[in-house]
Amino acid sequence: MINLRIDAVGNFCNHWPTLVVHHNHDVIFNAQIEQQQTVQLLLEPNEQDNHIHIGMTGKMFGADNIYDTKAIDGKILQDLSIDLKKVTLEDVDILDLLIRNDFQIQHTEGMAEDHVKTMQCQGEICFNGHYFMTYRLPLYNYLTNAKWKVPSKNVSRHSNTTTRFHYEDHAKELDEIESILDDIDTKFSDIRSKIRDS
Amino acid sequence: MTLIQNLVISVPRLEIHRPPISTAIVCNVIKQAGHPVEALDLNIKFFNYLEDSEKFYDLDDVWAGERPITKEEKLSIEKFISEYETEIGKYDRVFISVFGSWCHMFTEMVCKFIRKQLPNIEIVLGGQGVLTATIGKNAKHFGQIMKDAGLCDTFITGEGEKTIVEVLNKNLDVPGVNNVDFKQLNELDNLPFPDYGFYHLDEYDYLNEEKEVFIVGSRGCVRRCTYCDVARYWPNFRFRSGENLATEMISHYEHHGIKRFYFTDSLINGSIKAFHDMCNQLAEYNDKHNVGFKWGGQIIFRPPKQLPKDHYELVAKAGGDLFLVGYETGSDKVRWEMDKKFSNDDTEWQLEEFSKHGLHAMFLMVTGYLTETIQDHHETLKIFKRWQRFVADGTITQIDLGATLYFLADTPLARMIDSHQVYFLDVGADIEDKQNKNNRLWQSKTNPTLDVAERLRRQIEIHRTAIKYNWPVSRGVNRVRTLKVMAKLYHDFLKNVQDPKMIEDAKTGLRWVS
Repeated sequence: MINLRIDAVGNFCNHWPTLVVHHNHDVIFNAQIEQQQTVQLLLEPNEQDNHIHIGMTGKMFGADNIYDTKAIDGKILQDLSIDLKKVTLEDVDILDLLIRNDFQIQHTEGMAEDHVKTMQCQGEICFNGHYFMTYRLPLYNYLTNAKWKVPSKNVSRHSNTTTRFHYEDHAKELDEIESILDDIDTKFSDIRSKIRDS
Repeated sequence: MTLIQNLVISVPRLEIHRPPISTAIVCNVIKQAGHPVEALDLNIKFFNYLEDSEKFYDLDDVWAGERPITKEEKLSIEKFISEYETEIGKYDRVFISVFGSWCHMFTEMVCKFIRKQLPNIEIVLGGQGVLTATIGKNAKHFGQIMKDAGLCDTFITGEGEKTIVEVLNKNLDVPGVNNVDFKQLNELDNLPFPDYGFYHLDEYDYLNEEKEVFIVGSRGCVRRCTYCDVARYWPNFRFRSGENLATEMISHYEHHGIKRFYFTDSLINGSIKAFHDMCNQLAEYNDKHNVGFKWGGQIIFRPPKQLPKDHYELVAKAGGDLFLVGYETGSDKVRWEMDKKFSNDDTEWQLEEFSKHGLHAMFLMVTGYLTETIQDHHETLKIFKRWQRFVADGTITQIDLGATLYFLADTPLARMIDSHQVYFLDVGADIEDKQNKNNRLWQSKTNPTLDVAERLRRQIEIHRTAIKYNWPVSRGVNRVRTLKVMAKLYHDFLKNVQDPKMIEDAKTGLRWVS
């Protein structure tokens, strides 16, 4: 089981916003967020790709003449929304991974027909729809690569952080050393003992 | 009277990401003493001369003594040096800064060139690399070797701020000049700041594309880690006040817009009070002027009870960013024997604090320690799973696994050679320092299972475990190549030795098996 923790702030307009969380396409959370709230969920991951969707539902854009946004003279006074402050999987922040993908807007009655379907956001949720990301197991290995691994560049070996998590050349050298050590084990174990006893 | 014209030269291999601080200080000392002086940074000029940076980095294996220099590389360096004949020829005296053993070969080549082409120039060597020597009694240090070979006129040991003035005034019969009886300076707050006006600051290969400079907060170390030779150069720990340090950093910002700093200290937090005071002042300034300072360096982890409340929160507010930590081993027992004096629980507390406040750590490791047992080794393997979260969340940004323990001269460890019945396998001369034998292949009668093969096996297991848990292994390929050289030397030694005999070298007192 994997711990998913969401620190979110709900912003009121007519009612409190509803946060919806899907894991592998199953709804695992669907409830209103009143002011600042922490949601803690346990995920049961598959061996293959796992999908997390975090979003909002139930915001009205004019259907039945209901608007969950209140404005006077163009100035917004209230807007139903959720701000994701921090989202973690097993204590590792994944908000950066969630917002790498554009927010997927769910078209809702009352919205313009040509309204954009996706939007680059930073954790705020102002439309019905969701952020999403995929993860695999082992979790920390996956998150490390997703968050920090970059293409390797050729710069000074003392300060070349781009080679981190690229192990192909390490493995080749390690194999060669192991074959030398195997040869030593096979051919020279007697002389090793003699030296220790010398 | 005509004043003597002085040139202060830096040589590879130094960092190329920041202008050299030691020669920037030396230049200011000479200037303040009223003598004409200029600087020549052959390190950065060589880096830019090669155009292909890969060639510069390839030479690291040569400077580290891990492979011999090729004929082509030697010719390239000699050609490069010869291009500075006219410039160097304008001066009467050159001060060459020998930062460490990685500078020895280049220094020797520069000195040979000057002696041959510009024989009237006086050569003075200084820097920590002057004192570098091999282990064993009666071992000669680099400065003496160069003087005996006629490749320098004078060498300076210890801190140069006062001694250089003596050399300028031709007072050569003083402690620290052509001898190792140097006197430490006690007061650091009154020393001149480095003067980077002597350097072309646009020549450097800055990380993050922002100007960054070195800063010195202290000299010496509060610890006496058994494998470390810092006390050889700086027997006593001295530090600048926090206020003095913050004032220098703020001054660099206000005069040159420099916001990034790297501390050269053995430990930035050797004096917790000075460190905390500096952070307080920087945090206040940062907050008031929204500067965005970023700085880092080497620190020691400490038991939480030694630290003020909310210490790391303040460090973060002051701009603390990346810290190199000599964690060394997963075994509390071995780390204690190394005299590090912090535990795995202390480490975990520190990592939690780092994670909470957005600070970053690079772990430095020394494995295959003299007293390491198989249980100790297993303790080291455990850390990779235990702290994998801190890799995933970006707190641990690098780990340098090292290339297993070896002995440095004048360290507590070197003084343990007799008591632990350490002996060396005679595989011939050291690659870089041909006057001395290669001492990487050691074994101990008091810990016989940890022979060379076992040490290599453990190091490989550690490396593979780090890969399994996706740790950010730094310099990994170079480290394993060093291990491969060791493995080959060991293999060839075993192949050739028929009837092993142990002989004590009368000159050094070391025991060699051949």
